[in-house]
Amino acid sequence: MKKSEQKQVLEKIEALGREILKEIENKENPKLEIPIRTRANIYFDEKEQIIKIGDKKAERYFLNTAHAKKFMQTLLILGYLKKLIEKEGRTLSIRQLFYVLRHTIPGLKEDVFNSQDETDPIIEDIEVMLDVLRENLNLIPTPKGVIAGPLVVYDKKFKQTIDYTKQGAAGGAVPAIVEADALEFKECSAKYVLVVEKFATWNNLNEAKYWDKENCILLTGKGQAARAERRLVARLAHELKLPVYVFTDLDAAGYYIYSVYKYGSMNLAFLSEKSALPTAKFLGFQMKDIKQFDIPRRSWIKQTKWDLKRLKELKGYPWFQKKEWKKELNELEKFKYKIEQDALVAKHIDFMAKEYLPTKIENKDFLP
Amino acid sequence: MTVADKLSKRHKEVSIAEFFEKNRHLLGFDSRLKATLTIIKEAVDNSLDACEEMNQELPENMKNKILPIITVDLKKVEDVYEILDNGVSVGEVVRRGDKFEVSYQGRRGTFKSKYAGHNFKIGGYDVKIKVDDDNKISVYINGKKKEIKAGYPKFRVKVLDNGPGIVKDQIPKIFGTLLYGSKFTRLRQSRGQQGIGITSAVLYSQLTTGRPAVITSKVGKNKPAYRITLTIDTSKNKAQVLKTEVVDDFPYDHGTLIELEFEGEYRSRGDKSVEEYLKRTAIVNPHATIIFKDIDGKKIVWKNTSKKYPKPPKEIKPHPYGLELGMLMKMLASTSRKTLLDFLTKELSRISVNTAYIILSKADLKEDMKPQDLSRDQAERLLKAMQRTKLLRPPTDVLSPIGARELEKSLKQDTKAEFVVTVSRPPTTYRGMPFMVEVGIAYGGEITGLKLYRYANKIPLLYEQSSGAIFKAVTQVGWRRYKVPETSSGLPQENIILLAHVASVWVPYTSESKSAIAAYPEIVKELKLAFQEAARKLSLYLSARYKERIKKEKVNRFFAYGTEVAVALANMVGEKREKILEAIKKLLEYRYGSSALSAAEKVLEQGIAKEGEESEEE
Repeated sequence: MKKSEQKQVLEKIEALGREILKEIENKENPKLEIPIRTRANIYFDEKEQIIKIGDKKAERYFLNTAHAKKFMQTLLILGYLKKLIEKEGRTLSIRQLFYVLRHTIPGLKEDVFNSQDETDPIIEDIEVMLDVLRENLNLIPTPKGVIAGPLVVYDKKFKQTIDYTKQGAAGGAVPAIVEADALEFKECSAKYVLVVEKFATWNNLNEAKYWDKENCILLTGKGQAARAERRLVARLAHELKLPVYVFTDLDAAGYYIYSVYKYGSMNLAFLSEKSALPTAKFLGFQMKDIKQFDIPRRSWIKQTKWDLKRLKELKGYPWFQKKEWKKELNELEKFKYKIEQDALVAKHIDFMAKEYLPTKIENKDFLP
Repeated sequence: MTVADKLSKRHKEVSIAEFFEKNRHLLGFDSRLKATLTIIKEAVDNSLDACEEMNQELPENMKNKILPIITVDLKKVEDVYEILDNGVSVGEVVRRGDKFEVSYQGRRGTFKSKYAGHNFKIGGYDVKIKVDDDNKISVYINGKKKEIKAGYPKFRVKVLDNGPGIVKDQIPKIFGTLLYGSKFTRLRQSRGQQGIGITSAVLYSQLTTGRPAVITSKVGKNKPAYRITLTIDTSKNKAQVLKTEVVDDFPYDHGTLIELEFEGEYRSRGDKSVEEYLKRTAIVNPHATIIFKDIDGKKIVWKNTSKKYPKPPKEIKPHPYGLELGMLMKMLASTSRKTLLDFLTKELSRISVNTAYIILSKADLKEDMKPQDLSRDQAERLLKAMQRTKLLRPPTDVLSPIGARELEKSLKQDTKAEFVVTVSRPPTTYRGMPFMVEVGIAYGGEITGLKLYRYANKIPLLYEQSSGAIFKAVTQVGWRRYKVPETSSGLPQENIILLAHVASVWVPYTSESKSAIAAYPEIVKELKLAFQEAARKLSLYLSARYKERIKKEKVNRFFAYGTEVAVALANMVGEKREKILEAIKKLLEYRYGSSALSAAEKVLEQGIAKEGEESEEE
């Protein structure tokens, strides 16, 4: 984090503290104003094509039986984060933060936090309240992404250069903090970024040297993408002007994973402006691919109740209202089956690397 | 048939000692524990009655000037031990005052307890008694330790009052004759057992200890106090005065002191302890001060909370609806009225001359018949005719309630409850008998668990707790509706005392031992309504208290969180924690008051202190 940015965050925390202290001294009921992060305050910005958080705010009062504890918890975290940032450079995971702050209130036989379930949402509250990403609060998310391909980066903190063509079978890990002040793109000859849903798919393609043959960056977020993967993909697209293609299962969950890369998520709508990537394209697996690539009947799995429920929800989201997507979703609903990426190897172990993906990319056969 | 009926028939034929033996259970002497309470009860009742009668006799401007002060002084006078030889009783040690009286193998001897530990010759035996630090004894005969078994201890009770006193010549009659007294066959709310109460206590004392009763009484300021020592000649049902003395240190201008020794059992606590009995008596006699000196010398005072005697009860003539054939026949036989018409209109209540004629024609009886001439059949016809005729209810203003306000004050003082509510229902009737109920609920404070205080005509009922009208009514209240948790049998599950008083000219007991009131629907209904009315007020109190508690807990919590907020804000703005905490305290004080804040501070301090102790233990 740049010094100026850091100073800004510290000032924001202090200003908030001053405001509350003033309320206390004026004998007012001290309060925090927190933008609401529930569905009710989430909207889809048609113009920018991203999911955004609205301007509805919830007030959290100290002298209110229902709010008091959360109010106290929020301030405890804010107070601690200020100390953490002042100490410079050191970062904590959100679980570590929970342990650092956890203690029993003297005389009350009650812990300030019972579980991490209580600290996590408050960290998100603080992010939206201060309009600061947790990375800038020296809190690291837990990345799980794996990356391979012709990309060389420089880790500023550790002063090391990492070449993602030389990471072997395991691939390179996506670092927790991928902001420009921590990670610098040195070289990149890739033509596009291929994001795959599953690690198994990534592994299959890595073994087939797909990224070498196709000259692309191959990345997986292992299911639903965490913040670091999304942010990295967004940076690759914006800064290196690379097209991004997303390849998932043919089911509601797969579609949603794509939509999070593209438009942002509802839970972290406040991140969208930095992390969403409206130019991302959906490569597959698509309904029409079943016929075109002759996916055998034995590879189909019945959709579960949960799949169907999720599909219905998807149909209701404003960012799934493009006609191509309406059609896709309707067909999937009628189809009553789903097809996982893993099923495609049943045709041939290199079916994805040698047939499916090259064909799709060559024909630009994407959904918007 | 009532006890009185039995007594009147039989007292001439059998010796009263024999009668007493056969009827112990009816008189309240069927166990030593019960006998102890009964003796005290009879003496205290007598004192309360005497004081009330005195007040009635006083001119208006003198009334309520002298309120009852009743002192009950109980001492253990004898410990008795049997000496056993292979489980067979071979002798006895009686410890009385500073003496040991030993009898062994038919020989007797006495020595002072200060010589305990030395050998004494009794007959041909060396007897030695050792007393240990706990005041327990051990007995050695010819140097060999003997097995001993504790027998029944003997007690002496002194009951003193500042009542009117008793004229010297009346004392032997009142205390020495069974059935003497003015209560017999009267229809009036009264405590007594038709004149057998105190005399039966004297008799029990005599039968169990062989010692006489001592009665001291003084009737006026310038009159001497006489002390009369008497026993009952059981063959003649008459007192035998052993000694009459004049004493000059009687503590009041007038009053009576009775001293009795008896074999008993003493409990220092619990439902059947003397203390509990006297406490319950004190609660329903708010005008009386009752003092108890227990056997360990502890003195307990239940001070009067009212400065006025209760309204005296009135005597009424029996109402036909409440008559039974036996009673009617007895009245017919003993009346001085010359004609049946006169008898009906003057000996019974609510029968006018016109109504009397209607009854007589229904019963097919002549108005000028001599009451004594009626046969059993005719009496039965008369009773049925009366009960089939529409009559006014009996007058109900004849009862002497405790009074809701008086009861509330008294209950509050004597139970040290946190909240007390009382309800007095208007009088009504069951089977022609006027009655009324009064209830009280005492909640919280020093009360632990559920206690049911039952009274009939101001007498505490200690036995057969879960039978009768009062218990039944309590289980029918539906406590849950009034925010009081309830057991599966419908009893409230709280720290609570439920008090119920049934006052009537004739209390219907479930049995002759007079332990519980019969569950007549009218009585149960009145009790239930009274308890529900009281419970409504309790529930209002409970919800107010609940809100208060919630508020208190809220402030406690805010303060505890406030100490954390102070730390957090100190980090955020870089100021001293103490300064911020002061500001938070001021905020809480401003919003919830200084008492709530200081209470919260205290709670937290105590919590921290306690945590300190706990961690030290670790």
